[in-house]
Amino acid sequence: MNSSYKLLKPIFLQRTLYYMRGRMSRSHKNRMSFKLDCLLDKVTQKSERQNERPASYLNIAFTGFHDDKLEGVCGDVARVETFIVKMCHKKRKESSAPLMQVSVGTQDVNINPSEGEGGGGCGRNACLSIPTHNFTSSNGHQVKSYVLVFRVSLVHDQENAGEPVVKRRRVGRSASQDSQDSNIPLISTNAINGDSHGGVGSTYAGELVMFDRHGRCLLTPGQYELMLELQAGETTQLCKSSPKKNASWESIDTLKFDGIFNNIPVLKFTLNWNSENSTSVIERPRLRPLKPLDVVLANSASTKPKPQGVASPEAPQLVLYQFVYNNNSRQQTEARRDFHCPWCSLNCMALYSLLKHLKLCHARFTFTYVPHPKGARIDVALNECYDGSYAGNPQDLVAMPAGFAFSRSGPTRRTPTTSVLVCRPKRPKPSLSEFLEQDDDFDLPRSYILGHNRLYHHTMTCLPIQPHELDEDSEGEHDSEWVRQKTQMMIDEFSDVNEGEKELMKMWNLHVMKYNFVGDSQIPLACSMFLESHGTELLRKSLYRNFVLHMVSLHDFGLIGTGVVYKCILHLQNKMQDPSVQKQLAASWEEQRRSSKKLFSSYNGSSSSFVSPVKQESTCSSATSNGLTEESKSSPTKSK
Amino acid sequence: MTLPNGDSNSVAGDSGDDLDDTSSVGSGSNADTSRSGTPTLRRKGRNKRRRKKTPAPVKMGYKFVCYLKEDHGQPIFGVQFNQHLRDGQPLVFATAGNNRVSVYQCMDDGSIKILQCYSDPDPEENFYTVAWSYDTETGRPILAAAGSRGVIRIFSLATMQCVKHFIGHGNAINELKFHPRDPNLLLSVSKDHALRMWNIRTDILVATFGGVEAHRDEVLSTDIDVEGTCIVSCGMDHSLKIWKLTTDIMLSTINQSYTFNPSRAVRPFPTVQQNFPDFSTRDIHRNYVDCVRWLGRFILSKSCENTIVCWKPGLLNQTELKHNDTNVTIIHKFDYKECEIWFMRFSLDYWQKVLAVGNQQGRTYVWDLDISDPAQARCSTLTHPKCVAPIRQTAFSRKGNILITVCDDATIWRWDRVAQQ
Repeated sequence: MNSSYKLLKPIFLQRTLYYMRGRMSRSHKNRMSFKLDCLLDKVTQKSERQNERPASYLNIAFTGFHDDKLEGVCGDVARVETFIVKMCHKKRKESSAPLMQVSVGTQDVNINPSEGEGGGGCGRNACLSIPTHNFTSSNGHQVKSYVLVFRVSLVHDQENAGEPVVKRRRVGRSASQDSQDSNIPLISTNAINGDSHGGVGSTYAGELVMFDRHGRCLLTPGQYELMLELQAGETTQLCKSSPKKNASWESIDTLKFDGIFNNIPVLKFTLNWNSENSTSVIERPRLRPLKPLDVVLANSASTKPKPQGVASPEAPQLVLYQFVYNNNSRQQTEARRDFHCPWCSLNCMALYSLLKHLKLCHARFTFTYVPHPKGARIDVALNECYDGSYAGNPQDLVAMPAGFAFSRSGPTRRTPTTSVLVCRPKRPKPSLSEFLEQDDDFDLPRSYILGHNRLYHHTMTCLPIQPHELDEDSEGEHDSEWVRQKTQMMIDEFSDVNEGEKELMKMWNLHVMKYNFVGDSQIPLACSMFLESHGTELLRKSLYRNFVLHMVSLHDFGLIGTGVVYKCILHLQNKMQDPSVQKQLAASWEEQRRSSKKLFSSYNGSSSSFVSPVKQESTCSSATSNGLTEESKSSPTKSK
Repeated sequence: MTLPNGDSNSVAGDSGDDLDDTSSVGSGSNADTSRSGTPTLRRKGRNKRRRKKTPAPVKMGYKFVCYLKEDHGQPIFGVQFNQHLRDGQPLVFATAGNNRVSVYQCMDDGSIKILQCYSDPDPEENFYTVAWSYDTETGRPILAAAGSRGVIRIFSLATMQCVKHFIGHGNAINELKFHPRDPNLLLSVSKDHALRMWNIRTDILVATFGGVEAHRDEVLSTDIDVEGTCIVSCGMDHSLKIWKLTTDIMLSTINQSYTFNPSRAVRPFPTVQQNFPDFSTRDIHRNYVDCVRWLGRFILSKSCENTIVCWKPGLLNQTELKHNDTNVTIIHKFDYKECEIWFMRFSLDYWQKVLAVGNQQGRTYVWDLDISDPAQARCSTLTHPKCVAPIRQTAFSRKGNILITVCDDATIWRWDRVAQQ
């Protein structure tokens, strides 16, 4: 990428999350040892590893189907059909995740077997064995997970089965798993209103997810009570695809577990992984009282990256926000149990990150960390020193609205505003102590841009100064055009000075104004420069004698010496040698002669003061002294 | 100066201010010398000596058709018909009042239909003036509006957006005018004693007219003659000034404003700073001159002296403007009554055949100028019992058959010409 592109469109880093680097879970360690040739080996190893299931068969022994509403039919059997549903990863452009479902067997299960009876009516239970190769993830789609779906159909139709059930819940095993993982334990499904299918309410269904998203097996050996749902006929979809998609918000407090579990049909079975296929019917074991399962799944023992609590190894469970306001006279406390930012809900995952985030991203407040026995207290107060001034590009304030015919063509210069792109200050070791109350905020990060991004205006036009005009100082102080014009107009208004004198006065005064001669000692220089720039023009306007007179009066006022007068006259006469000038002089002399003859003939020598054949010379002196230009007008002297 | 910017009125005083005719009125910073707040103040009463005028046989009459009231209730200062729309195209006009610019259409059935309304984000904005032009590329209408904030806003009615704004005037803008020949050149006059000419196509400030010999107080009104050669401006300093646009520097700068590429140029655009008007007079009016229009080579101007003066610079037969000419020739005076507050504008139709001005009692005076002798100009008065608020501005449709007047009480009145009798 060439660098000029970056000049035009710099890449602004929005923020740095260095202090939250715990958020990134992947590391690049694997890249070091990566070899392309090993790719196939790895895949085969992986698939082999996956084949190492706890055992080669998953055995499920159904112990009974319990439904309180089916009391009258104790001893009857219900038919349980078991499916395996493969949930595959959604590929792009596929509207829904592909599902594949395989039926693995049908068993008959006792309805409402009495628990105390031991063997019960028949003493044997239907048993299902599923070979584990069904659960490998090697064919075609990458399988996200497998779901065991049990569908129980009653042999006898129950009229009262359609009674509305308020809340239906499936519980995989026991409530003790609640804290384990959010994937399985309490999955709320869309409540199906029983009224809508009262007549056909003879089918129940329930699901068990086998693997979580990390590929860990969730079905540990044990006794399961699976809550079933009344299904609306045959049309139902076997698996609700991803449980997350159907998740809805519910408040746990409002649920009454006791009442729910009593009324919901439950399929009870024992699940274990075994190396051999079990017979289809096994002895029914005695049900022991249910106790919370305290076995933590072996491979789900939380390999999640742990938040890096920097300074406090024992991460505080409670974060108290104490809002202090009204001159510290009032306060309000709010507690939180996690490290989410209360303003923007960013999960900072650690106290240090949280404090850093608050301080950097919510600058309107000040945050002070105070250690607290229960965790941490953060004092929040209004930041009195908050600088809310506009820090962006000042040109944006006056910029024309975009659109219409104003799309700029080609590159334009931008305002040189300053934004911090990269800043590498000395970074202290992360420590919570930096958030403690400090006497002096000497180590606070300084603002790196100070008073630079401003909008300037032209003095004459009051227009905002465009970025490309910044280099040039447009504001000349002296010798403005209007001053020159005004000077000439004022000279023109003199009534006691003739035209030739006015002409020379204008030329001389404008010359002096332009170069701003301020001292008597500069007058010789002014004279020579005047001749240099205006000499030819002077001769063209036939102002030779006017200029000589001007020199003389300058000498009279003691501003120049005789030498200077001599040099100037010589300079001017040298200029006369130019043939074009000579021609001009001759022409004007001729013209003056003619006009004077005409005048003389018509007025016959009247004593008008305007009849002199050449332009009248007069003392026309512009003496400069002390920076002021003054014109001393003396009476015109007639010549010829 | 006897015009207090006070509580009750801004009525032109009739005390003799002849004395300061020759002396220049106090110059200085704009903020201090301006006596005008917003020109909203109205004067009631002054009904003495009201004579029953027997109207001359009306050659041309306008009859009341309808009126409507904008809901902000604030004075409407400006109204302009879109004169670029020809016969057969809709009759569209725009008003400026409060922080709103509204665009209306005169329907054939005599009603007025609102088409668009733009509201400035700043509630303090008070628009004083609107002007119509069109996009030279697409031909779509463009509406310019400006007011107390001194920001010129350019609306594109086709896209219904404020497409541009021009910042630069140091104070409120009193009137906007587009160049009659070049629809991209916009002239604005401001409380900051200066006029500015903008090229709204290239967003360039072409020229400012202000400085040593320019206006010494708020500039209130301006007009460019039909050929686009001369600007006339007038203001609170009682003076009227004429500025030529045909000078070499102006012509070249206007040309340059089209070709100037700000992204290439190192220096800012060489804006002409015109300090010297080509003609200036204080002999026509003895008070704030708040409206001026060219009428051919003549000028119509009014002050708060119940008269519109038709005059020309120099002697009657003189064609050239002279810089320090002290002569003016007054050709005719159109007299009317009870119009002694300032910021009351008269208007001419497109063909300059009808002249209309409103007074502070809600009456409208209409003159037919289509005559050989100005003395024959007949005046007709339009009244309506409900129209009692000062009429700030009038506007004729292109053909002159519809007259719109806008009042201090946010009402808009439509008068249609009746067939000749």
